[in-house]
Amino acid sequence: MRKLSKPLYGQQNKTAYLFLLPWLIGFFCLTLGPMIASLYLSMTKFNLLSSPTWTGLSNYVQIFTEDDTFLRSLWLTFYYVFLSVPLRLAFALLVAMALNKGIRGLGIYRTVYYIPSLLGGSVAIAIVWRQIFDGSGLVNQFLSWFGITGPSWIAHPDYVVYTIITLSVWQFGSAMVIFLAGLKQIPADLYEASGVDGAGKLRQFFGITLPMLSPVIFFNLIMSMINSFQAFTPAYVIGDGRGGPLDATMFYTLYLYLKGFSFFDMGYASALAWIMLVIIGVFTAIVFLTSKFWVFYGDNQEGR
Amino acid sequence: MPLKRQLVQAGRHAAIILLGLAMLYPVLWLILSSFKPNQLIFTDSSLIPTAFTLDHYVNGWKGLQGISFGRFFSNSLLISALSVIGNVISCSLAAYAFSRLKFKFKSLWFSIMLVTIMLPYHVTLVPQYILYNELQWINTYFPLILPKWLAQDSFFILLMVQFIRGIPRELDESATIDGCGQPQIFFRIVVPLLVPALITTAIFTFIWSWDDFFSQMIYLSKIDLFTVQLGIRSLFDPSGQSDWGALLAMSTLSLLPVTIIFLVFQRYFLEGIATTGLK
Amino acid sequence: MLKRSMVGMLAGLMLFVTACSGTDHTGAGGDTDNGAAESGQVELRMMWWGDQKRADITNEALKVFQEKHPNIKIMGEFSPSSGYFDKLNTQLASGTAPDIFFLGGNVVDYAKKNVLLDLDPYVGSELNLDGMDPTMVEYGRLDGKLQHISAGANARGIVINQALFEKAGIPLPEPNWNWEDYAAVSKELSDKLGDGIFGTYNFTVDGMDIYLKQRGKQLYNMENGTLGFAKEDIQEWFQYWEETSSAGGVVTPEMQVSNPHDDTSKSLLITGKAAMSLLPSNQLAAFQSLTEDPLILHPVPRGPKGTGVVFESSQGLSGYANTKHPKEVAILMDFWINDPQAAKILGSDRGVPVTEANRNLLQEEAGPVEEIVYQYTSLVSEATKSEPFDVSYNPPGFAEFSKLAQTTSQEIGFGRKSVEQAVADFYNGTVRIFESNQ
Repeated sequence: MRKLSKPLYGQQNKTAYLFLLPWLIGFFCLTLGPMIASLYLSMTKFNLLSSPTWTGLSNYVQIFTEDDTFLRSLWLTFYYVFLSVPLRLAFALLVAMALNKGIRGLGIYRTVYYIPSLLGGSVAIAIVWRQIFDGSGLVNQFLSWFGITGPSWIAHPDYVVYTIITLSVWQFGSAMVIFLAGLKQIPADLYEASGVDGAGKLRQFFGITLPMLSPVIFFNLIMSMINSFQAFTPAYVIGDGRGGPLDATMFYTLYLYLKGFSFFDMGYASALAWIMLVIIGVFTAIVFLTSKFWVFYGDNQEGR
Repeated sequence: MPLKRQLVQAGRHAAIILLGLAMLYPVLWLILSSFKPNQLIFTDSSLIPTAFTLDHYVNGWKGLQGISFGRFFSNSLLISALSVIGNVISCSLAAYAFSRLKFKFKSLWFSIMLVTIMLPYHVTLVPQYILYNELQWINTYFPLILPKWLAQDSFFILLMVQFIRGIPRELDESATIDGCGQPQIFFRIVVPLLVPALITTAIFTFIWSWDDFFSQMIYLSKIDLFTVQLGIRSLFDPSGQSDWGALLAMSTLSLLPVTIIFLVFQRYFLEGIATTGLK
Repeated sequence: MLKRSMVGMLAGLMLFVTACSGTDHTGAGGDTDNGAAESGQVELRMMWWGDQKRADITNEALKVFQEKHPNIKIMGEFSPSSGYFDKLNTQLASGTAPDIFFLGGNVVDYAKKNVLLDLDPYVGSELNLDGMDPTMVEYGRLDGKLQHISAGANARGIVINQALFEKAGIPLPEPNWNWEDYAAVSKELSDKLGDGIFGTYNFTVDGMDIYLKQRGKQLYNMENGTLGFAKEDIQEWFQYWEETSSAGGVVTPEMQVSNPHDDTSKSLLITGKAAMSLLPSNQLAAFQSLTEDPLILHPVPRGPKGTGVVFESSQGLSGYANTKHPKEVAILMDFWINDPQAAKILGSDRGVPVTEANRNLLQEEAGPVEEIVYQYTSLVSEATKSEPFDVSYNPPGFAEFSKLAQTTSQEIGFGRKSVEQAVADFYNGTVRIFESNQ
């Protein structure tokens, strides 16, 4: 890329900012203000209904020194992220590979597999999941064939998190779609060439598919991680929306939402949010730093 | 050999169908239960309704306060469609800049772009509401659509950045030699190769706007502006007399547009647009 | 494009200034309610939560109101219950709250933060409270100011699934039973009805204030602004449920979570798996509409000082402190509680009417389910004459408090903590919540 001469670089500067213009306008007009405001509020006592009063770092101090729920919800969120993200991505990749090509009725199959993700966090989904995972639900009826009496998977504090993870894996559709789009970008002649060389399916997968797909895997990893750290809806769909039973569904974002809107402590909630931002930022940065070892771009540049 | 091949194929179909059924069970329950009378929805545990009624669709469609669900559907369609167009255009522009162009403070802007989606939105809601109120955007669709036109969905920017970076750079270099400027490279080379990512963006934007409840609820109060999600939630009050049948019926209907959109657009993944013509 | 960005920049700047100068509540309201004052025409925004049926009858009542007061136009806004308070809080925080809105058991939290209109100046002129039960009026007097007008009265009672009693061959309990009887009946029901069917729901949280009142205590002492109970008072109550549960008469903790009693889509009362629970009277109709088993309301078991049950507000109306039309707000409230036509339209959806006149009016035309409700509420009305009790106020920080109470009950139920330990933590937590919400 060295061959780009200086004047051209200046030229690109202007073009680039033109391309970025909508985003820049949106950022400065819509996004930046509220972000700064929330940072300011995180250093105040703000009960939503009266004016905020400046308290400096005391919200942060309180969070780190005396808040047990903070620690518990953080731990639960980590647990959820580290289990659900790899599971969902692996499952999505597997299904995407199976539905990529070579069989009839692909469109229908893909749609069938995507439908769970269409439901999102709707009221209906909450009802259905109870039918399946409750004490007398389908899962336990199935288990009873083997003489196992299962607990209520949506109500027992020890197990409810696994039901939530199952739900998140079940809604793997978005990741699958992105993998499908990525698989489409892999030039077919790569496979043909390696087929001629006599490479097996497995070697093709590790030798061609995975490296060629790595930018998309990278994307799915980053985004699933960010979304899972901010998981909020599942606690509403499976739990009671207040973190119960016994804080077993008290995800970090739910906790800060409750603090802010139900418990009238928006200053504290803002502080919690900025802590979450730092945590997500650190993990994202780690993934970006490692990406140069495992993500391969067609544009022959190193990972950013 | 052909027989073995056929067997393998049949096995593959069987596995996919079996797993698909497990995937679909909840949705089947939803659809079939919407035809059960109210008293049987929670007491009748069998999947197939023993009694069949269409009342829920008729009652549900009537909507709220004289505004039918037809209106809610067209409102939701409008919001989703405008969001799709906005996201596809604005995010692809930004993604092109981040992935192909060189400019000052690029990494800084890139990091900022990512950071904006790391802050849980609950804490920016109140300041944002104040801002939109100052702009007199409450009870309009601007708060729902305009951020899309201004590329504030970093998810899609990063998505397209990843896809553009998968496109070999030799293509734009040869175009540069042919005398193309950046805008031409973007429109003639990158956009056509980016179609799978653009379709993905379109599908997701449509579905996520369609399913969004929280911001619609916060910003829309007038009943004639209501969306499908708001209409459905209005049928539901856990401690009151929720009309469960109508709720399930309208939830089923609300799945239709998004399913159709998906079914139509997913074809574009079948046709290897990106691969042809590439060496 | 430039113009739009300029406007945006300006707004961003203004936001920044407002945020830094300490969110100014009065400034932002101007845009939304410019009810053209010059023609004498006034526009009010009103917000409520609930289902479709409630929306329909509320709109109908508002229509009648506007016919009677042609100079007042009401913009009704309703929100599904799941998002109502998020929306209300957002609007209050940004100074754009509706002129008049509904609040429930959390009214104390709002009253403490000076966002509710003081209604005292309008009592006797625009707002006539003569026909309202004095205890109900008193309920709306918070921190010495009248800030809330109940829009529906409730009395909590024990809901009984008669079919299950018959099936078990157990006669309906005496009206003046006590808590020991209650535990015994629950156990008998569970034993006779067999696996998976239970005598009663565990209502440790919902019945806490009643139990305290039966012993001359209360949750929150509004007058002194203090907690109304000591740790020992509450320990007995948790202990009672722990013992009744281990005897087997109570819905298991798991099912209590997966099938909350007050959620009509899940309640075991509807599926015929639980025979009794504590229920506010206005919810009986909703429950009955979903099951064919006959449901009735029965008096709450008695403690040393009686049942502790009084008329209480299920929800009510409050005005926004910064409304430009306080007088019209008061007129609308007056219409809501006194107007016979409104009472007929609104029925007992939000609870029975708060004035005796309207209650009598509705009772004449009551259907079979409402008849049960009216019989029960008049029973309560009679009882309070011989055994008066104060109204229950929820303590400030109510949402956090009730979450804590529920967690405590679950900690005991799932065997995570002993009753003593759990109650000790509960009491400390309550004191902490209470202090931080003063």
